[in-house]
Amino acid sequence: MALLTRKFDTNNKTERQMSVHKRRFDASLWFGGSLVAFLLLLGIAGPLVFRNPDEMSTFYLAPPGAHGFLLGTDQFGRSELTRIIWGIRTSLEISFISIGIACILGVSIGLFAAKSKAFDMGIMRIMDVLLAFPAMLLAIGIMAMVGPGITGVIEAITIVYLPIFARVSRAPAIEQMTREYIEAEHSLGASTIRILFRHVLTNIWPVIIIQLSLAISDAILIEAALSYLGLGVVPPAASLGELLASGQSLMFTDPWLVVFPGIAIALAVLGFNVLGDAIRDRGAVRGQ
Amino acid sequence: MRQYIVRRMLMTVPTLLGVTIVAFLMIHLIPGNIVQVMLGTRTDVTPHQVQQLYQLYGLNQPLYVQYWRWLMQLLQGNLGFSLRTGLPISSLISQSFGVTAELAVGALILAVAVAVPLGTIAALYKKTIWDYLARGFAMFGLVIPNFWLGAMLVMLTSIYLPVLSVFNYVPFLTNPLLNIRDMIVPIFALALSLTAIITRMTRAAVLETMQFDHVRTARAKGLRQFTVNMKHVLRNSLIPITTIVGLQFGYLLGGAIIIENVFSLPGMGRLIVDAINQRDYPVVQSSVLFVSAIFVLINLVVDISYGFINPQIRYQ
Repeated sequence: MALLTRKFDTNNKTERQMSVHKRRFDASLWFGGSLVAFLLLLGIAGPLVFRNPDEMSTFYLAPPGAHGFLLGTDQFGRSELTRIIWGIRTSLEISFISIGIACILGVSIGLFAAKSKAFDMGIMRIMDVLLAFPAMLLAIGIMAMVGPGITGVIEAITIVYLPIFARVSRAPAIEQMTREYIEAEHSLGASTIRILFRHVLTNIWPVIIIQLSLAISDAILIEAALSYLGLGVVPPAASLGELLASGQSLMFTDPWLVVFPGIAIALAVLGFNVLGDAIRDRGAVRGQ
Repeated sequence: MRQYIVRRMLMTVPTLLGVTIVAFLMIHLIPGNIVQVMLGTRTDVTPHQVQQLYQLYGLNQPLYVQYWRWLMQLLQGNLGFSLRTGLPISSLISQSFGVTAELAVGALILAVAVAVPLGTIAALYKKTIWDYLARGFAMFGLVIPNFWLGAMLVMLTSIYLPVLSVFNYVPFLTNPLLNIRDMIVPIFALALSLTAIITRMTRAAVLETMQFDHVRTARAKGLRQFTVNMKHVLRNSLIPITTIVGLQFGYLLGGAIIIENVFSLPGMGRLIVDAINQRDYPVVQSSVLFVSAIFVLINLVVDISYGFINPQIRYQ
């Protein structure tokens, strides 16, 4: 309990001082940003170097480092490094596409809900119902309907995140709609579309950016979990979750088949999380 | 207060109805229908028999009639029957839900017990080694997928702690000690990321509360630092912490579903995934519906408890 008697410093810096301090060097922004950039590079350029994830060698289950395979090989003699790089590509692809669609549709719904009361009442009830499901359960239920495969995973993650983006953008959009400049735009004869997407959207953008980064890290986890359960990406396609799933039966004899894909997932989630947090902290300090 | 509770309960009704509609559509949007799934590739069935099956399941009725009938059955507690075993789904669920509930509640208790002190210490010792350790741990917990951690723990316990690696579920009431022995590792795997989230939340909440005027007043009037921290800071930080714990319960239910599959525990997650693999759609539908309904009801309880914690909420 001695730990709980600590005195604290009530002499807080002003927001301005903090923001000046922040702008100098933001370690987490740099760390998260470079990790994400590194993974993107691996996902985009990696497959150009390591061309064929299905190429089999005669070295089955080679441990890391043996026979020139940096991360070893799997039970079919395929290079684990190549498969992880392709797995990163698939996982990022799924996350970016699904979260991208969910963001565009969700934010549009949020914006129109801020504009029209009737639309708000109708569509937000539907969004509330979708939010009433635990996210993972909803994703599993959708996978049961659409069947395994990359497209199915994209659909599932999109439907799970659509209501979240609608929710997140609706509240600040409603707040913006009460501002005077919107009234001024109206009297100048600006169309609804122009007001919503040109003015409201640009003002609520920071909130959405933070959500985007965190949603992508969640999407990577959901993809991994679905594929791990055998409901998502299925062999021979490689995704980070699928690699975990197919490595699991060999876990006791060849642990690297589970360890490396797990580390790759953790790094991807770490990157997007730290980046999202860093962006949020900058915004919070500037009072946005 | 009573008015607030009634209003909040009434608001739950449309949500629950919506959940039943989504669960109903889930099974009707799959390609083909139950009868086709049941028959599979069998060719020894006459069209007349197929017609009779359609009638039996009410599939020749319009969709809204089917929904209405299904809903009426639900309200009478009839969740339907498994296509594969013919057993009533309600009995399958009652066998499985205990495991899931134990996992989720156990993880919740473990997470709160670790995270609240940890987060408080991190906030009181802001920018010291304690803070960095706590935040490092929280970041670690957040990025490690729980099922991967589970798999790693299965592997590590089997080598170093074989006692803990017998994942052979024994109900708590049959043998509490054996039950705890088998559940402690899965509960730990499920609790880690929640612990991380609550630690971060507690830290943020305590840091915010420390800046309030009433805390300065408490210090100014000469209260002991410990009293200030416990009674004035931590207590007022509990509202956002309760919120996050309530919100995260759905995450726990979802996580339990995956963790059960890692440790081969016979809970709702296993029931659902096995049913999906066997294309036993009624079981999938009713299980998803059941877990979601539980989630909605938990949210209701959390909302009502806010009314007690924070009187302002009652009047909004």
